[in-house]
Amino acid sequence: MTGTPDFPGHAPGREPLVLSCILGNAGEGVWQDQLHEMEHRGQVEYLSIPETEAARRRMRIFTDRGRDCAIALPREQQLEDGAVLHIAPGLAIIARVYGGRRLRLVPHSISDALRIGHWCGNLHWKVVFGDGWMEVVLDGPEERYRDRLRDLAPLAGVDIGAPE
Amino acid sequence: MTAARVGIGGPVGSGKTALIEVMLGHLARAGIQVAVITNDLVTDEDAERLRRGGRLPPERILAVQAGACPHTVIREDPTLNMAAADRLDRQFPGLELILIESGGDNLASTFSPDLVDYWLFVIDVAGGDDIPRKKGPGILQASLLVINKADLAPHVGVDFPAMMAEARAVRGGRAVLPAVCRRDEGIAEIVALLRREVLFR
Repeated sequence: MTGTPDFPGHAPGREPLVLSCILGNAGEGVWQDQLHEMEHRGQVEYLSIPETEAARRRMRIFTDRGRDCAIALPREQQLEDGAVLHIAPGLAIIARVYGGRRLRLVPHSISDALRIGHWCGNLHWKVVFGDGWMEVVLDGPEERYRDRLRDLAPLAGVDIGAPE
Repeated sequence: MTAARVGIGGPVGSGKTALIEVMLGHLARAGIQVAVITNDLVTDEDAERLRRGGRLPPERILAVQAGACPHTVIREDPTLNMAAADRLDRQFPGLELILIESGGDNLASTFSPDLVDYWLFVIDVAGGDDIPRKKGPGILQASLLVINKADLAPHVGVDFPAMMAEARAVRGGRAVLPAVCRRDEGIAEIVALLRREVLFR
């Protein structure tokens, strides 16, 4: 995601466009008409940011059209899906935070749930809780996570699969 | 705009403090305003070492005592370090970079993205050429992996090019750079990467 892009449109040596604050969210009514019109004119560019990286306040990243951007947010602001980072005549830039890949763990019993929760905590995995399930946010190959869960199998009953 | 926050982690003795010492010279020559936060278990040892080095005014070096496993204060609950960084930001307007050194830890050590914008993991060849193959989270997830003490490779039976190649392979395209902190080798490339990725100048 960050780093040198391997698609056309990047101009090496040029200064990045610095995005220094979140102006609002594209989902808010005040932005919708303006962004909708700009979208039709091809003036909206998107930054794809995985959920695991969204807490960072600074990053070097390229838009979907290859524009070199440097995000440098105030500490009190945090990236979220739809964050409007730039708007000017002819160009808007919006963050798209995607959940990335997840594994859903469904314990068979309360005892299994306790064991699984302790296990995932020890591994420092980022998780999201739901009703009767827990999803692990993957930051790397899925097999790496399944390898660790295989060790858990004799200790706790759990169904492992993709989120619904 | 507040200062960029960059974490530096790695095992005990891999060269984290040495890397900071030599980086400070490069950053000063580039005119970049820097402060440092060190993390030690129950002492201010690394902060005192940096203060004695004289490359930064002493008031720009803060020490955090973890009191427990070092990763707890850079990942699970980084509030002590966040408070220290906030204090430096308030105290030194115009500050551009805060380096946050973790206490020496194991290969599972990582930084919370709530605390840092970018982080380095430092290992050294004397720790064994099998470290990259062990694929700890520190090795895999760091923004930049630094392999220090490259000059010691022939003395400890390490095939350094092979170690670099393995590190690059397991990190799937994330950056890996060699260094010899003691001789200021490879440091310019590390600083150049930081300038590009988080300082933007």
